[in-house]
Amino acid sequence: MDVNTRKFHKEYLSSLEASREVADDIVPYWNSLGIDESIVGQMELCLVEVVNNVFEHAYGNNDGDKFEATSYLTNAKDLIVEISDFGQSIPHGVLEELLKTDFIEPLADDPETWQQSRRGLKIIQELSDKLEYFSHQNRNTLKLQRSAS
Amino acid sequence: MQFDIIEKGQYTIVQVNEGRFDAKLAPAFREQLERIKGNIREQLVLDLGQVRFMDSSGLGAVMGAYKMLRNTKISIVNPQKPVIDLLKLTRMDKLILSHPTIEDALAPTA
Repeated sequence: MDVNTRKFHKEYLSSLEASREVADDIVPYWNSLGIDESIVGQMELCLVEVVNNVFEHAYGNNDGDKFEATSYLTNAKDLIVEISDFGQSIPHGVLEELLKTDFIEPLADDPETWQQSRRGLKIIQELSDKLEYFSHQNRNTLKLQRSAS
Repeated sequence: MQFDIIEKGQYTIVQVNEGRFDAKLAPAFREQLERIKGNIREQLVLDLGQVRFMDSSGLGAVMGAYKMLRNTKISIVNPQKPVIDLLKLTRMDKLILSHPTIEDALAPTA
């Protein structure tokens, strides 16, 4: 895939506030590319969900573990975001299952529907055009694609 | 102050004074509600006017408040567009109603 712009790439350490740090770095980069404000807002949400997922699940809420963020715009005006960690990978089948399910609508008379968690990956899937996940030599990468044209 | 608590008639208003209601802020929000839950009046109004960004952790914290205060009506006021969009996307807007102003939330028909 041809890259249309300079690439954003930076290493971070996992923490509860790491998602703020990554967003503070990447959002100005996206703005500098002239990407529409509404797309930037939605991709910021995706980015934060991925980074929180890394902290919570890949690293078990542990501070100080390395992960990497990469972003670029392709010649076809697709915005790419890749977050790579070196921790626990997402179990096989979880992402595939996402495609089959929808958000559970919370109902006032059914406490079983009052979910406090497990919306993050579904939000990412809904707001991205394409979601890929691959693991190679202990490096797990979640790659998001969203049309910016 | 991350939060301001305002008592008004039968309402307790929690004003979130942060731009990001996310994984970092969610634990503090939960702790704040735990501290005041015994004194919350008939209706809890969450003023999110200053929140320009909310993620699933923020949503989870709001849902946590709903679960904790089962007999209390909860509503959101002053939501910015990203918050409205997230509530709609996740269908939380069906359970927790949003109003453009505090006055609308406090109106008897709200």
